[in-house]
Amino acid sequence: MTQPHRLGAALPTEFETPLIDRSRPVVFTVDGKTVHGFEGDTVLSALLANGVLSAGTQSGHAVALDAASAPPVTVEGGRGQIPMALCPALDGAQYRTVGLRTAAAPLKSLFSRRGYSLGHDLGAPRRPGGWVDSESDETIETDFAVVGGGVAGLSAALAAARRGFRVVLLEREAVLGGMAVFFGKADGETPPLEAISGLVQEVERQPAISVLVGAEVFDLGQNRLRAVRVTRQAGLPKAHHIAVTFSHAVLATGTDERMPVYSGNRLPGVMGAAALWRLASRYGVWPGESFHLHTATNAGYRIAILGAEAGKSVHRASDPRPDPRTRFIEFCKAYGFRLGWGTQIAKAGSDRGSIEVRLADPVFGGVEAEPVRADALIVSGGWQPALALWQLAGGGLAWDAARHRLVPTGAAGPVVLAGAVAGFLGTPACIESGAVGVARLVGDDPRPIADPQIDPIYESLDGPMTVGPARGRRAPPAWFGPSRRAALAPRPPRGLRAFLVRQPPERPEDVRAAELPDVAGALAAGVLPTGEAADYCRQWCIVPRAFRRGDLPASPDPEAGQLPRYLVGRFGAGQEKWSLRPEQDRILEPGCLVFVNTDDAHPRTAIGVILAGGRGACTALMARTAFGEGDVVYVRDGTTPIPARLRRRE
Amino acid sequence: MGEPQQTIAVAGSTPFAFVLAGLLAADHGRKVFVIAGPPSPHGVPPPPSLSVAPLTRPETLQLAAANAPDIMRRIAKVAPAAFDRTDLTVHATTPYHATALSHFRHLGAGLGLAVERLPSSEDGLSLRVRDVTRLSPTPFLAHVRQWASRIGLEWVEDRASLSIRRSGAARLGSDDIDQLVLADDEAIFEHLDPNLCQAIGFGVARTAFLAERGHGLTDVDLRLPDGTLLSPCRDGTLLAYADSGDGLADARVAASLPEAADTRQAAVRHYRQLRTHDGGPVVGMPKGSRIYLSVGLGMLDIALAPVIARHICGLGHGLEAEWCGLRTPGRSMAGSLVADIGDGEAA
Repeated sequence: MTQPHRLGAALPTEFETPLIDRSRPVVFTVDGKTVHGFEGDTVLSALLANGVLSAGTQSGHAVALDAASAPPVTVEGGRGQIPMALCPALDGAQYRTVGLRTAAAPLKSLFSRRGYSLGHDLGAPRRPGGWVDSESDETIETDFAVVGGGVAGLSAALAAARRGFRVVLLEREAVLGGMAVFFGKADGETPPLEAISGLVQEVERQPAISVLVGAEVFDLGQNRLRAVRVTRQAGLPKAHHIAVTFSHAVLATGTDERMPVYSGNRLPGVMGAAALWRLASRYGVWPGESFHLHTATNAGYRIAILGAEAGKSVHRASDPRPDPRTRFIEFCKAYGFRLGWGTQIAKAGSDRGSIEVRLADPVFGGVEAEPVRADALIVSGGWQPALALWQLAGGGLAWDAARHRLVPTGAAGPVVLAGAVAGFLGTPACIESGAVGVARLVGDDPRPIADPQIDPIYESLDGPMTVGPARGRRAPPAWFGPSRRAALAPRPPRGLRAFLVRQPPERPEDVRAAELPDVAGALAAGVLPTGEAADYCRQWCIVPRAFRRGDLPASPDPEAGQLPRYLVGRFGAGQEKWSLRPEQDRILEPGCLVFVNTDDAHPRTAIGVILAGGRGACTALMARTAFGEGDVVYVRDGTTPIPARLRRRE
Repeated sequence: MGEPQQTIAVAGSTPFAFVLAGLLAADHGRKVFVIAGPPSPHGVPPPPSLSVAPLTRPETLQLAAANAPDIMRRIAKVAPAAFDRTDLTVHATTPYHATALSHFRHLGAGLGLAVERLPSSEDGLSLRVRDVTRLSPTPFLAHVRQWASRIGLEWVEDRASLSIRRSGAARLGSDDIDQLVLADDEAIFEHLDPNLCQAIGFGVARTAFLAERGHGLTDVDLRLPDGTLLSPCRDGTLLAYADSGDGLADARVAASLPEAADTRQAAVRHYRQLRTHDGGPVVGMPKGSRIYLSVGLGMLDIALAPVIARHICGLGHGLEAEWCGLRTPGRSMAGSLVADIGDGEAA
């Protein structure tokens, strides 16, 4: 099998309608290596299906290949960089990844798994995709921009269109609907799939709504957003840079998956539950045959159930919450999974192609002696509202210490939040929040939104973000977030070890713009004071633009022909201009100081200064002294005093 | 029974404000309150302070040269990593600024500075000042709180607890303060009567950038006409400061970067700078007000901090007293006798 990580024939219902067409295989190359996929795949999903699980190395350790680490690609015969996660996998295409590669190590590659990594040096200065700096290819004007095609975004787009506004709906994924299906439904609610289907059909019927799927919004400013979308030009994919100018915007950007902080949290084989659900449901990709689920959320248990239904083996399901309760746990028990509660991951490591996880002992502390080995470690660490665009739009942020997440504060002019990013949890509330957001923007009195939750006795709240203990410098880093900008500082060696064992050098800080999940990780780890969260995000969570050269206004040249104001009163109230003739053939430049004798050199003892020079004659600004016409003064040019004769007052 | 200790409140969150507060407490025995948020080494810092700046009034350069070594040695004990030695490159791109820079060159030579001329365009002039001492705010801010508690500074994070009457008399909570010092532009914009503020100078929108590695600069780089300042950090990153009122701050930074520079914005902070009308510093109390102001010291702020501290305590003498006396807020800005080619001063 050329695609070892593609799901087989037995699939749970949620994975039965992927975007790929298994009847239409495609073959293409990435950096010269052959990759097999299906029509509908992205380059990223096909690489993962082919077993390429690592993007490269950073700080000496392999890093998982995912949307955050995937380098942009270029295509032979095409122009410009394309985001790998959005780039379609085309039959016969030749793609190249953009970025520095690690130096070839023949011995190491002999023992490493073939084709396992893209081999990038992820510690090298990182460059965002070329679209960040490019001019937009197209500008669309609209009344309402809706970012996010989940249930809240769909509802907002419909509400705006029904009021007669033109709407542009931008969705990052290739399909509308968002993550509502992953989160499941509560009793009495319409199944999310049904709700999505109804909303999508209605959106399709609305001519006022332009839907742009596969469009990632990366910048949001004053009534203008910028997005990158992959289109085809002469049969080849091309990153199309779109600018959308709007009067109002609704951000229904959902949530980012939080990543617990522990050593090895970005190793290949470690995946977020929501990211895995997207891969499996849209592209039929599931890395490995066995996995260890570590979840602080109830939704996380769903992925274990779905995995088991897809024929994967669950080696362990652990949860940092001491007594989690959810109906999904009951299903897990029915499947016979080995469950463990009140425990967190102490560290993870790679071991001959599998992930070895050591859990912290919930009873005695320390680390459990017996590690859990599996092909993959699936982690559900909770949810961070995806507030990056909100913040760029001028919205405020604050750290919610109880829930370990950054939450929105204040207002952002013509931009409102809707759905999960605004804190709503239930599908009906998310749908309603979209419509209410539009109402608020057009000045209607917004109605309150009911978001009933199941009692925590039956459905536990999500657990806090856990932070594992610091490890030594040789251990894989405990990154604060998926972009791997900073990691928990390694524990310094103690005792004799500090003297006897040579330690690898300290990791230099990777200074670059931050992403919100990384900041949330640093806040949860206590590395960043929580009181500074808002200021820090305002300063660091920016679009990492290059400094653009451009036309600058000419600097004014003030006071031309007059005595420069910085010389007013320099030699007293009676200072006067004199014409001087140097006794040597020398051009004296402005600023040369005039002294009464050759010994003086300190500026405070100067009696004048040259204002304008020339060969044979110059003008000086002089203090009123007893000197008169024909007297000799000394002009110091550098270290040389030059005699000059006073000619006349000017 | 001795006289009650004089209380001074220093409002400001720059290294200069903290150093000034420290000097007032440690050298002059005052009870000092610092009114500022918690100092943070995580944000984009204010511009660095230097031992030399391109100015045209010899007395300012002389005072800075006389005071810089001692104050910098003392601060180095608190935050050794905050100081380094670097070169300063200054560019003037208009005839006016080139002439001013030429004046500075000869003043600098007279004061014993190593100032060299660099190749530049026909109208312009570029100079390099060798061996300049630089105080980088970030490492200093990381240590300042510890140092403050050691020398008995009282930190007041709640800025709302400061109330100021029309006369400039200040209260901190329910306690009267003998002297309020507004030690940086942000504090002046926040607390000073806007009319008094306008009499002194005008606000300019500025942007501070922290740029990634790959800029290729080694010297601190200053452009005189618009005050664009680039300060390469020891970790390979770059701090850049430029006027941003017209939205062209990043273009100004780009124009100052070497052609081969390959760097990006990592963090951005917007702030306002108060520029004096005559480009010279303003120190002292405005007429009819008891608030002490310190404005426009530019990159020499730390070097001049001991002078300001002595002036606040009424201990300045000789050249210092004369220097401060000429730079009071009440001076005539038109035809000013202390006008200078201020940082970013263009008109």
